[in-house]
Amino acid sequence: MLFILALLCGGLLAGRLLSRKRELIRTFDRLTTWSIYLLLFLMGVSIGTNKDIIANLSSLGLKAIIIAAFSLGGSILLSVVTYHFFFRKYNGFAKNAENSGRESAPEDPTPTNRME
Amino acid sequence: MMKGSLIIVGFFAAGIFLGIEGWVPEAIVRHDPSMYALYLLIVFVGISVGGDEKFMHIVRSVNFRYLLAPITVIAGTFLGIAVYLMLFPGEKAIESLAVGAGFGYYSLSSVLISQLSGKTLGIIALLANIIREVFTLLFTPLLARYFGKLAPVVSGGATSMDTTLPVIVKYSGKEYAFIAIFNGIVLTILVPLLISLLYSLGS
Repeated sequence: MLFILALLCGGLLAGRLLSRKRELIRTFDRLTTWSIYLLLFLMGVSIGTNKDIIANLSSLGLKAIIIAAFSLGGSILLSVVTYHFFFRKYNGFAKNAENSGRESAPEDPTPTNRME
Repeated sequence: MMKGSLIIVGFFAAGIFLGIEGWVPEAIVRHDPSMYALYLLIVFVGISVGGDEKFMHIVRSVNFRYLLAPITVIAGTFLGIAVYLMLFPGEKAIESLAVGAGFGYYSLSSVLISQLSGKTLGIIALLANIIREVFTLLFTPLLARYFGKLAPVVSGGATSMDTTLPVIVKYSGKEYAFIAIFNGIVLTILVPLLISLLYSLGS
């Protein structure tokens, strides 16, 4: 966990130093997307080649799916409540600070990484 | 949004298929480079969050709301498990709650539960928590759209600081990066504590 945090801090620092180079930062946004695909593919491979998981998938898998579904269902539904009461009005932590004084700005429908 | 999930599912399914069929180079299977892919990804996420023009605003926005994310994960997970126990009265409460209390942190929770409760429940904990992580990776585009931008963070649980951080940042926005990291750290610390606490209550 500490190593992950160290990598993240290193990245943040590098990002701060490069923040004037917009084109480069956008390239890293695109690289992030492709590494997400790579990571998911590799996770699939490691599950597919794990004989323990594949062999037990039918017997124990169903129970695991049910418990996961209830855990996720409860979490996601409660998060709708938390979001509604504490986050929605707060709409885009940073955006508020910038737009203060201006009338409610229309929400940007595109993913944030596309923002100029 | 839907397209994002479909592409992610596609890559994941292709990986599983190729893995089962054995159509992947030995080197990939033996060394499992997914860890390195994750490290690379974390650096990229750091750069793109740190390089954002609004970075300082995002940092200054750190406040009490951050605590609400892990609280929502814990309360929501246990509420869901409580409903499960009502529907399936034969299941043991402590065991089911312990599996849920992995919050996606499958490596630690499955090892811990194997020791406390036996290998069978350990494998269930492993699978259930992998499902939590994979579900978040696959469906974050839809969660952010239909259940609010906090939903991917809460769905990811303990994984929101590493594996699921990139998709959360991409679909909830960079302003959710710090809340996701905070949420992941708090839950990662709490997973072993909560699981041992549950078993000490049960015995």
